[in-house]
Amino acid sequence: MSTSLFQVDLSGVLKVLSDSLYSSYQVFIRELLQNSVDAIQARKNLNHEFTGKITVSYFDKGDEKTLIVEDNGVGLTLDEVDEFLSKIGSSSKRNQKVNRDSFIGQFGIGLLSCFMVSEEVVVISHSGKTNESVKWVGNINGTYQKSRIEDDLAIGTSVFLKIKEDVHFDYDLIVELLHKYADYLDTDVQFIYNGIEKESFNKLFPWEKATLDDSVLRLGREKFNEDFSMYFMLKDSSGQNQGIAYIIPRKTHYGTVNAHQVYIKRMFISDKSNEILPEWAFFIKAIINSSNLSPTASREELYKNGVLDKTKIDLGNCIKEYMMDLGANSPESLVKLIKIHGEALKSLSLEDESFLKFIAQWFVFPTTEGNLTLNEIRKKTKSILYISDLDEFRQVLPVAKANNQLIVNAGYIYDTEILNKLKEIDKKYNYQLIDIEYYGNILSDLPIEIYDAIQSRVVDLQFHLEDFLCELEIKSFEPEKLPAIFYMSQDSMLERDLTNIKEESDDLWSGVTDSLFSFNKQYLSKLFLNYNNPLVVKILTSKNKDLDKVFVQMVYVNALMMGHYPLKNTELELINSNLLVLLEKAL
Amino acid sequence: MENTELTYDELDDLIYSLRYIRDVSESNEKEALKCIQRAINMKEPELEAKARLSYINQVIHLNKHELGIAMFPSVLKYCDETQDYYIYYSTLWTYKWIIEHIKGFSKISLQKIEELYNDMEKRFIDYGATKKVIHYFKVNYYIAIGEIDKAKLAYKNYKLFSKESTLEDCKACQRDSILNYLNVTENYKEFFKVAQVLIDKIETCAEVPAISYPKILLASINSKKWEQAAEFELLTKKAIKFKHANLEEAYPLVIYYAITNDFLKARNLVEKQISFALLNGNEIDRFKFFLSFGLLLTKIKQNGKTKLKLKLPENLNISNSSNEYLIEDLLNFADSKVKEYASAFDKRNANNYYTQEIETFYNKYLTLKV
Repeated sequence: MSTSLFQVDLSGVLKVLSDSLYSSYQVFIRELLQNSVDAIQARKNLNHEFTGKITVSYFDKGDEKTLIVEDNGVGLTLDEVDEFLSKIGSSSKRNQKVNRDSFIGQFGIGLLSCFMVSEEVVVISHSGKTNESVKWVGNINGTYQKSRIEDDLAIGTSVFLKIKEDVHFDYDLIVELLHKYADYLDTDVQFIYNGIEKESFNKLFPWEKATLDDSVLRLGREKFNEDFSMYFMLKDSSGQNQGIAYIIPRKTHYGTVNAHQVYIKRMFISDKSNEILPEWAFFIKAIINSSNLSPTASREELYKNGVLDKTKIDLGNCIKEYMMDLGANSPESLVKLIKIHGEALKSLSLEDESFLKFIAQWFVFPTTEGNLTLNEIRKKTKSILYISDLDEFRQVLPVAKANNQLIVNAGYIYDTEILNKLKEIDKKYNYQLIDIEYYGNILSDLPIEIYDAIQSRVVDLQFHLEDFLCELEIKSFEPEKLPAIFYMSQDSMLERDLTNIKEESDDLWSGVTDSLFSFNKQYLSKLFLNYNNPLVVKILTSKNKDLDKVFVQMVYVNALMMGHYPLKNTELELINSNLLVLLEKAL
Repeated sequence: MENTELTYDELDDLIYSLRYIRDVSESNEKEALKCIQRAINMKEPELEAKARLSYINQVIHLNKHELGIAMFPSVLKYCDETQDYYIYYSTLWTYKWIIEHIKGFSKISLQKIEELYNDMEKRFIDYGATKKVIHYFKVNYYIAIGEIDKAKLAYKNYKLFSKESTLEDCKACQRDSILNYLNVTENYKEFFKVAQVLIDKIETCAEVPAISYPKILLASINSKKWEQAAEFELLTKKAIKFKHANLEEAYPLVIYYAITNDFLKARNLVEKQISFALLNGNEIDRFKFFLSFGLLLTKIKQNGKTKLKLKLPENLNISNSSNEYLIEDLLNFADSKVKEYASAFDKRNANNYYTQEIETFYNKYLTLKV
């Protein structure tokens, strides 16, 4: 059996590159800069004092546009030209045993991207190793020519591209691309237009300057199109990932996916990266330069590996430390931050007990006495009672207020979980999750003689609630104007809902539900009548039973509506029928 | 006192968060239920349908599959009545979760399950999906009802389709699901080939490879690759915290600990998961959990122990306050659970696959040595 080499159809490969690998033809600029940066790095590895330089020249003669990218890097020998320019997937960087990590590119496909904008790629290079000059001409049809040339060139490489007519390319675009890719390279990049020197690109990242100044905010505005006022430095424990974290000045929701700007070894990689910070950091937008993360083959995303996982955790810890620092040194800033991003921080604190211990005191909770921080609540009471449901809280509110009882509304997202967690770790206070049933049970019972006197009337009223599986109890509580409070457990609510769904489903789904559940006939809710309310007293002490049904059913339906419980059709009908009875009595 | 009413947009946002939040919890489940109520009170059927989808997301991932299944027809009904394209798409995605779990309830007859598959297939094809996605789900369905030859045919049909179509799971999830099939059919050569892409994270998603690690652990045990098994035991524990019900993921771990005589780790895991196994959810997962628990107890017994300290849920009829039990009693308890499920499934499926599975399981793992 003979062995043959695969035949590669270059135009097919190019189609794959342009359609699937790269997001845009414009990335060829990045690939050329990348090769130049790596060539310069290779020369620096031999001579640490060496200063690299890249020149990008653009000649626009209307019908002919030429781009030349020159560097004074290590250059290529004739053999290397053969190996690295003519074999797809072969990279001079991949085989480096020493300092391989200092290169950005490693895939050996970068130069191919030039064919997205040019029919022909000409490379002229002079190698420092052999002191020879070579010329390589690659064509889009997959052929190439190479030769030694007799030119007294300086060490380095130049790539010449004649831009295809159908490719949009002009002065503005190249300046934009150079800002995007060359701004922060540690090699000076000079741009020449039609022979005239125009701009140099070589900036420091703001965090590399002696002090963080307004340029940080300007950069944030420029990169994210948003006016920030709070930011801080991001740095992982290895120091290999650094940047700026901007705190989004508006409320964001859990699950918001933020696009961060990521550079690898100072080369722009992506402005859509969402992998570099933890999911909970959705209140932050960041610009980060990494020297140890790797890009994917397209160099437009981060390669997912253990290093990325560790970096994410590290940068997350950095964000937590910043907030702890704020708490100690600028509590008013932390309050401001919590006001906007409380939800995100609450979510984060559930993941990290030590962070919760620190930040919980600043969290704001709605209570029966208005919005209070946990610290303020702790000053008012040792027993922190909280209700995990907004509607239940609303029902309890007038009763608690009338009885001067502080109750926390923990019905907003994360609040119940936070208070549950604090119950485990903060033993100085008694955190107690309550519901209306609990609250109903601690309301005052009637004196035994009064209860005995009305007991038969309670039984009468209970009879009219049986169809609704609602249990009746008599208590006395303030305020007296409130005739009743109502309780339905989550399980009961769910059972009501699923029963409704089953009844409205076709035979197939109804049969499936029947196979899964057997709904029991038991009380699903509880109505606590208030014996301090004059109307309740009147009905319970009256011998006339004519209005029993109307009274108790209307109180029940009203309680359902006040508690925002959905009404069944039969309950809606009660309103109509009982209203008619009342009208008839009145007329 | 701030207003506790949510506006339409706030409720919509909350429902959205609850649907796409990765970390499900009992309180989020409760919140989702409240969102349904709020939407009903607002008389906003679209929001109500979205809230129901959020609720289903929560309960399915909390192992309360029966609640999700019982809730689902209301969303389907809403879609059929309104032709709401956006919600219908999400609903069809949710249908996949429903169909994936419905076979795990022994009281639901095969006839009903087949009817649901037909309904799902019709809806999916009408929506533009190919039959690939149907074959994909049928592979696991046939495994669940012990029809391995039919599973093989479904897998073959699934593989015939190369073109991706709408409503298919992501590539990583598909690969992960295939691992189940390859494990059951003991095709370990292909198993590790398929798994490697996930191990290398060439294909990943929010859940994969985390949920693949226990499957790879099981295949490593079955093919006696002990070093690899040790590696994937660690990866499984790192990726899955077992805070919620993870019975399917606990199963290979308990087997591994039983075989390696690592009884302390096994007990910790059993204590974390047993309350879920007793409570609710897919019965196949519960069957497997008790099967692995039985293996663990048998191995402990073989090591000469007669008693075991174990924290069991208080309301369990065999529980006692000392938390110390005779191994024999625990073994009887685990066996009775396993037999109860096996007999219910075999009756439903009209075969003896699960009863046979108990024997095969013990024959395989009691003789394995590291």
